[in-house]
Amino acid sequence: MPADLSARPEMQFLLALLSQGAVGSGVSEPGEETPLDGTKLRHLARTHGVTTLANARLGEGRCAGLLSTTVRQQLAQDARESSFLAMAQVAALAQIQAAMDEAGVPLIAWKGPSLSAQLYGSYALRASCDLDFLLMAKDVPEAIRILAPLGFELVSSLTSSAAAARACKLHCEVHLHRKHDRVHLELHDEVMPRIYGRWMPMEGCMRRSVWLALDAHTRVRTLATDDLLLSLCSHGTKHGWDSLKWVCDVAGFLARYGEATDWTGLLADARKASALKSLLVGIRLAVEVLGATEPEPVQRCTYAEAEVRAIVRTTARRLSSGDTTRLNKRETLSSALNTVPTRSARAMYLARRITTVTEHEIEALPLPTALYPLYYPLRALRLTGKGIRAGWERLGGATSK
Amino acid sequence: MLADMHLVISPHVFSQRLGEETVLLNADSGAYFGLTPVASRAWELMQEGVGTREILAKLEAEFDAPSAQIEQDLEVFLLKLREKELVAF
Repeated sequence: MPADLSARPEMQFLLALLSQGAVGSGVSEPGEETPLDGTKLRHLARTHGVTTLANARLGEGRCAGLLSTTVRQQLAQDARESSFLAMAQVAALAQIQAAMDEAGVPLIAWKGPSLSAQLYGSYALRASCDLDFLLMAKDVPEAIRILAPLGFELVSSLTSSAAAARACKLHCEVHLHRKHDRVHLELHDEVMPRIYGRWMPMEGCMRRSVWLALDAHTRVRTLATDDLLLSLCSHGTKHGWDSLKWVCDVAGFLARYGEATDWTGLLADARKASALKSLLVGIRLAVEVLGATEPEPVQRCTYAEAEVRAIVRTTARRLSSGDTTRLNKRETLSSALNTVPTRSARAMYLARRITTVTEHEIEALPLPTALYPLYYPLRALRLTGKGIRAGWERLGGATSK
Repeated sequence: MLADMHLVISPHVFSQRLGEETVLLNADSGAYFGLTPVASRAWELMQEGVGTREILAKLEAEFDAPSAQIEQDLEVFLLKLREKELVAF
């Protein structure tokens, strides 16, 4: 699909607003004569999850003269609404952390308000539609049980905690929702779904995790900084970097922790975790799109240089265009495959993707745990049937032509 | 005259500065409260553990309004906060 270039001036404005220090190398300063469309700007900010951050930058006086008072007020109102949700999330975060502490279940608050506080100094500056937690796979059923009296219900027909834990084993995540304050939770037992075949074990992340104070009464456990950056880059990769929010996070990390980070060690760890390409793409996108400072050891790293450059170029062009069409499944898959280090790892990724049983398959035919291996041949049968059907339809289409 | 009191913010209260205003959330009731710029400044000082007399002195110095008016407004504000179980004193 061709990019919608009609929102380009608004996107350029947004990038200039969010860029670090001087305007990023890949971004041109929006011309004062360019009339900005407030509706498009707000839509872009909302779609990319950067409304509150953009509003805060405007509050600091950055680029403020280029917007009409009405648009500024509308953006401020959007930011206000987003902040309400962030406050409800922090209240839930405090409640959940306290309940888990009491039960002795360790969990890590990942992304969301805690990341906002870590990178931007305030828990409300990063829009997040849910609260994400990382925990050990063995603790998932217990966590679901602890969350039930707090009003959190499983979002799926997998109503038992054991069934949800089984689904979590496959996809590394379980979704829960609380109606009264609209807080949505995701429990992950890995940062990346297993099909990616990367990432360090959760035990290590838990051992290295650190405590972060969100306010005078609330402290939560978060990822250590090195793990945090790897997780952000892996997550961005998983979603094809189609949201500016994730690039902002990497740029925010570089501004906040860039100097204190042992880059040589981090690059080596990333390589071991098969996440080096993702890391380099994330950092170079932050440099290209938001003018972040690239640490010297990263500048010197020539790993998969041509491929990384190509991914960064394509992604930066897409982000700068103002096109808000989300990547489709095929594009996200292709983007993820591009950051898998070797051909054999790509083949493994595809093999895992084909053989991994989905939550829908478990829901459609609930089997007792002992019969669980049956899901694999059943999936193979289903996919074969699907392939035959698709082939038949193509053949029928060709014949009718 | 406003007594010098130490104010304790309830642990179920979450606050967020939005420009010149502040929004408070009482997580127990789910109710949100908006504070004016002057009340926001008073709240900020409460968070720093400043007592009522010092809050009053700072507000008088920072805002262009008659002292008696500021004192009366602060007293009403503190009573409302207590009524809504947002602070204790």
